[in-house]
Amino acid sequence: MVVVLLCGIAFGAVSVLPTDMFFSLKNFFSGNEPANIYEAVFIQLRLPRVLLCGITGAVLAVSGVLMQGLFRNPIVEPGLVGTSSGAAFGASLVFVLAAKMSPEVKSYAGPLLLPVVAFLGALAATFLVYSLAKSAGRVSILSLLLIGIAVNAVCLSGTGFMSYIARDPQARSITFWNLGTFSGASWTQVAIVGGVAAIIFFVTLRDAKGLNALLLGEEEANYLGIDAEKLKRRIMILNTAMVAVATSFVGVIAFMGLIVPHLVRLLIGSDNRRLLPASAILGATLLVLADLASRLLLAPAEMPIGIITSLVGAPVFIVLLKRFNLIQPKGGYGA
Amino acid sequence: MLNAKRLSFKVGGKTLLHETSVDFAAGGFHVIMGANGAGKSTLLKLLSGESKPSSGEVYLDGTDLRGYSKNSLAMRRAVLSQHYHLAFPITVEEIVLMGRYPYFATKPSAKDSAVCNEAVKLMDVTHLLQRDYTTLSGGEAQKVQMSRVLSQIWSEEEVEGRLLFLDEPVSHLDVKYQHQLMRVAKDFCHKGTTVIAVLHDINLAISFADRLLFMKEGSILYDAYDLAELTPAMLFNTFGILPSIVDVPGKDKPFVLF
Repeated sequence: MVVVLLCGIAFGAVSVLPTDMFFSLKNFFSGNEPANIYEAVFIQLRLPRVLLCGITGAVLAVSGVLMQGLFRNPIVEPGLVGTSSGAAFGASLVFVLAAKMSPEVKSYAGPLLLPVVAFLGALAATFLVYSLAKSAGRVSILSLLLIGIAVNAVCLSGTGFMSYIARDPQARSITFWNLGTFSGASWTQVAIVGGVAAIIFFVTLRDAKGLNALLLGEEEANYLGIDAEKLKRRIMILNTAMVAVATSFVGVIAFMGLIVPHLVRLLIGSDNRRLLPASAILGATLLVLADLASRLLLAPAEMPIGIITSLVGAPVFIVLLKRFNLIQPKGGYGA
Repeated sequence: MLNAKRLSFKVGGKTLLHETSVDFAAGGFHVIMGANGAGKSTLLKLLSGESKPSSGEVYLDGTDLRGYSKNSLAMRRAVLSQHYHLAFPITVEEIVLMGRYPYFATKPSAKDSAVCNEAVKLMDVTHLLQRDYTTLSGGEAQKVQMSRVLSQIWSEEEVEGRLLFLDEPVSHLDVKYQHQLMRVAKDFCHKGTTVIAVLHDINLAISFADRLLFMKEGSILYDAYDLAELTPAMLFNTFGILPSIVDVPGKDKPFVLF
């Protein structure tokens, strides 16, 4: 992980030497301006980018663990319940409407307009899915998946419509955003996403025991002294907030939340007390690697990171499914 | 110890339990029997606090179950259910440790680990500890779950005041382990634990129970403390088929032949 982080910082369109990193940090902490372009690249671009990328990877992976544990189902991930597509629709709205806004309004709304609207879109879509999937106070996995597909389709067509009416450059922005990118990373973003993620990691780690008990079923968790309904509600809210915040800054990154938990389960098993932190670390590492690849493959241009995570992630997922029987025939009526 | 007062349970306009009042004395081995759909599992869920009654109350040591927090209740009673399905692989060790979850916040104490070790030894599953639970046979899985449940109500000082609920605990076990599991439960009884079990095998029930409760259509039909009271007519009224009750030479318990 440390090696990958260092590589992620060092390589790119402009390579940064370890000495530059050191002096840059020294200048930064002593309040001086960066001495040369390399130091500036490091402190203002590379470091926040790699950090944001790592945090996002951790958020997506942990979110996958939480959702799979909550629904006791191996194929659930944040994209399935509308979080990503809701954010994407919000973002496309901003791209199209921003072009029609007067410069004054734009400067007033500032650079936070995009993440805020994307965040609201993510929350709205996710809660729409949950509330529609709920019947008699319980959320069944089957209705969640089906409603998720429906709401995703609506958001997708909304995003599609926006790209259709958009001018070319805006349409390109929408496309890029849907594939995720860390090129706009800043220290403000690192602070916001990192802060939210840190708090939520800490809280959910305390629920690791409850999530384990939930493996046996909700009734069994109750018998073991865990209030399953409250646990579910708490995790859903925290999880949605965490993913919505991360997605609203970096766009849609597919497959991380689905694959990382399975990889970690194969390595260390399903005990959530170890699964949660280990998934965070592996998620961070893999996404930093993917980001590195996205910068290096077409250097000096950049490929959207979502292309890489899907391209690598989907085949890996299929291999996992086939090889390790993640979905076993269970008999009965399933779900 | 555990007292149900005029318990009713309705779901979707259908009454699964009618105004049932029943008391369970501490240290007894109470067995509930009845045909499918008679309300046995419903009664068990109400008594264990998993379901809330539509009307009536359940008192544990004179306090309404609703007055206990989930965690304090978990330290008093454990429930072995009929079926478990796990979506993800997890070690047997972790499953058994779950029984101690009510007792620690994040890290199990030395005592928690010691209790788990004793519990798996008692159920003869020590060799399975590192196995993936999802690869176990039905019988192995049931013994592992029993170990977990026992570790939940384990106590060296006083086992009194603890309750053990068993919902068809031997359905996947062979004859030897059926008797082993029942004997373990009976030993807990002797130490003061109250056992309330739903069983289908009447002869197994007769061998271990202090009291037999027969349920039909959401009510308790017969409440027999003395096995000598048992008549073919009672069993016919409960199950709808007429058995013979025979004495086996050398055995002090009657044998029921359906």
